[in-house]
Amino acid sequence: MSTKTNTKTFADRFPEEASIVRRAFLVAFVALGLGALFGIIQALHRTNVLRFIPSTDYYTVLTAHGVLLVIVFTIFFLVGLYQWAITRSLDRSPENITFTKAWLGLMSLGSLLAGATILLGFINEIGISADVLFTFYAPLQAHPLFYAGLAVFLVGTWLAGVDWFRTWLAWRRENPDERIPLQTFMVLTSMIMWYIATIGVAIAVLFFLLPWSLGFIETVNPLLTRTLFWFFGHPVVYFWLLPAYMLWYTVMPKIAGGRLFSDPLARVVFVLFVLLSTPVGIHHQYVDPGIAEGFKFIAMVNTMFLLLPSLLTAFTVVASIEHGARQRGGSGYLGWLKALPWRDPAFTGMALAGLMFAAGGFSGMVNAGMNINYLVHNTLWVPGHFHLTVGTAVTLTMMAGTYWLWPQITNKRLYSRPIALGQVVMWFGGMALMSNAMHVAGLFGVPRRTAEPQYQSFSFETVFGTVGELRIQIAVGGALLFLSTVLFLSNLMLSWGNPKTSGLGQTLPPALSGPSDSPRVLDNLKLWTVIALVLVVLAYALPLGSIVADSGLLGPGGNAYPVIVDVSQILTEGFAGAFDSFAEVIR
Amino acid sequence: MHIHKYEKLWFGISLLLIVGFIATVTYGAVGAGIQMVNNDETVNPNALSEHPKFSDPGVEQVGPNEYDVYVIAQQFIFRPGSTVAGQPPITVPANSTVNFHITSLDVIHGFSVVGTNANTMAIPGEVAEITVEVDEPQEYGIVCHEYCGQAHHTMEGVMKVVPEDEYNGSDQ
Amino acid sequence: MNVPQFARTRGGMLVGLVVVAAIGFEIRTVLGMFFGIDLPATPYLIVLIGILSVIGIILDLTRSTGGDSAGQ
Repeated sequence: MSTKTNTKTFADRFPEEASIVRRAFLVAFVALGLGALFGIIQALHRTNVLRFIPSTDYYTVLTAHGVLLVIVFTIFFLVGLYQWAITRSLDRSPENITFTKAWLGLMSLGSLLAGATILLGFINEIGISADVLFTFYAPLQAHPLFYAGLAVFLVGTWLAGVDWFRTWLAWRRENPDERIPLQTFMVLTSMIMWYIATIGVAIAVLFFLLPWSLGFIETVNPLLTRTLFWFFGHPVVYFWLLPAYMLWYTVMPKIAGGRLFSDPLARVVFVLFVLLSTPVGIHHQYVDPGIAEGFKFIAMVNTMFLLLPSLLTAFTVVASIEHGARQRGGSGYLGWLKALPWRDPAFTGMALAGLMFAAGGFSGMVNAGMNINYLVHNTLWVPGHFHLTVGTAVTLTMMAGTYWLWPQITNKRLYSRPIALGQVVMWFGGMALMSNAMHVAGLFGVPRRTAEPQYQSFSFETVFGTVGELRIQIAVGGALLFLSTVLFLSNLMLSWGNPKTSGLGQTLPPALSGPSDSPRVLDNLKLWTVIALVLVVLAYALPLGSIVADSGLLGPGGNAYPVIVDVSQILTEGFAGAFDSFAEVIR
Repeated sequence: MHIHKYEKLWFGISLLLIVGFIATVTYGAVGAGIQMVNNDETVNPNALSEHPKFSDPGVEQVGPNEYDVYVIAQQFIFRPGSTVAGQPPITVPANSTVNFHITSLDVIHGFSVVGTNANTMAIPGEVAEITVEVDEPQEYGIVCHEYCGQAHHTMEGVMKVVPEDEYNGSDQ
Repeated sequence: MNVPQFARTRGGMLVGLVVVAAIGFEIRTVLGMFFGIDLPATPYLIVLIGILSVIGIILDLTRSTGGDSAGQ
């Protein structure tokens, strides 16, 4: 923004909290940079454009890419954003800032532990690795410090929620009859969803995987731990998405020159996510044995209804920016689009992210379609889908949001707005190329999570074009994304060198239709929590019970498979001798 | 709560879309008869060599045009299937019904007949059962699409649908 | 079509052209997957980018000069 305001910035009003936000963002962006580097390595490797690491190391790269980007980057950004949001919307500091620093420290420690075990996988001599990918399915086993790191990270996020609930409760004591301010409402509902969601992965890690990796238990039930992971694995995507929604709902209308169309509808959307995010996880296991078709059908129905809050968001966001455009003087059926601030990278980034999210939502609808899932399960279609959703809707919005938030948490201007605009447009273009190719290749049967999708005994057949051109698309698209990330990070680093200045404060206007227009029951967080838990029990009690009844809590099988397998021995001895090789695998 | 007219319209269309999707998927399930992988047999992955069927995985005729195929997925081959590793290809005659029974010896693998909707997971302790109709003679590739270790990308196989007169009985 | 009320900005034009380019690229996929029409990639992209570049240049040259470049 080039105009000066008389508003104090967040950094002026809450300097310690601004420092927390900056620290959280710093960790997030370091993870983003490293994750992006691994991403381009993958894009070039699996397309056979440039391979400079052994294919066995590809899986270390893939694990790092996943964990750094969707655990570290997204969640550290979330805690930074939410700390800003709750502090400014309640206009109040945390009850105990040392507690705040403590949970941030725990999250950092956990990330460091898990991250280090992953990266040490590059050095075979050390014998510590976690080449288990972001989903860490047993019986593949990582080093115990990987699981310990994840647990510590999780506890850190739980304490962040405690911190924010405490702040809200203290505010409520002083403001007993007021409606929860919208951004605070979003923070609290996100955390309720998170607490429910992490039950699954916490049980899997603390009761099974961590003791198993330490040798306290011999085996685990692979289907059980996999199901517990996906209990968490679906709601986590909404944990990534809800910060982006917060930006689209509360910041984007302001940048567009207007106000949020409806506060009540925003609350309804977040409540729907609390209720429906978790009882859908089995849609990631549509083709798994051991889970009855009836449970899969229930998950499918729940998932289809989970489309509703996102569809409602599409309406509200477009309506809000249309309002902004008309405030700026735009008119006409579609002509108001011209009146939007397209030169503003914060606005354009969020708008392009939203546009791409629509495409991602549609490919998600296909994934949800139970029997259609046979065509796309574990193919490259799936990464095509999630690079549109977490990769663009979330990541690009977070980048765009940073451009807007930056001056207010640092009192410094952004180094270059044109470069920022170029960066967000490049992200959009690169992702369009890469994700398109991934979707198409997936429909032709190309698998995901594979270092070399080029096979000896058969070749992939295309309906149009060639597999070669799809590979080039992925490589070029990936390169554009990497370049875009470099531009983003450089711009921020150079911005850090800018002098502090004044007049950068921004206010967020209230919604057109305010909280008083909505029924009070929306603010009844206890009610929504109870309903959410009931739905989770209905969706998961029977499937989990059935898995345990059929093959036991600790399963037959589930013997540990530490990921460093002596591949050369297997290949030279021939596959008939494969059985003997496993007896000799040492960790 | 004031809801704008257009928002109510949009809400209505969204619900219609959602119900429509549920209806088409339900049709696929009960009308077209596409069954999802269900909760069938469990096995002991440490004792597959003692299992009546998995001790000798392969193709077995069970009806006039019906065949059972037992496949073991393990690091990093399909038995049968992985011709690159000396295993026989999965061979069935054209115009028949094929029941796959797939399990894993060690870690979680994927099993996908490329270009078809025969796509499932091989989980140790569980048996994935899917039934497909094979039509004309053709050769298909099989991939493992779930990361299963360092040589995951080498895990591939072949399925051959041969003309009926060329099929010479369970040959595994 | 009414007279545009806003000075076209280079940033805005860039965004618009890139969005149209992405849509144009996706059309080739739709034609291929849904209608079985196989349009070779390289000539298609060259034509698409060529046309959009020409449009972009024309839009830039016909931009009202003296427009508010500090505005958004």
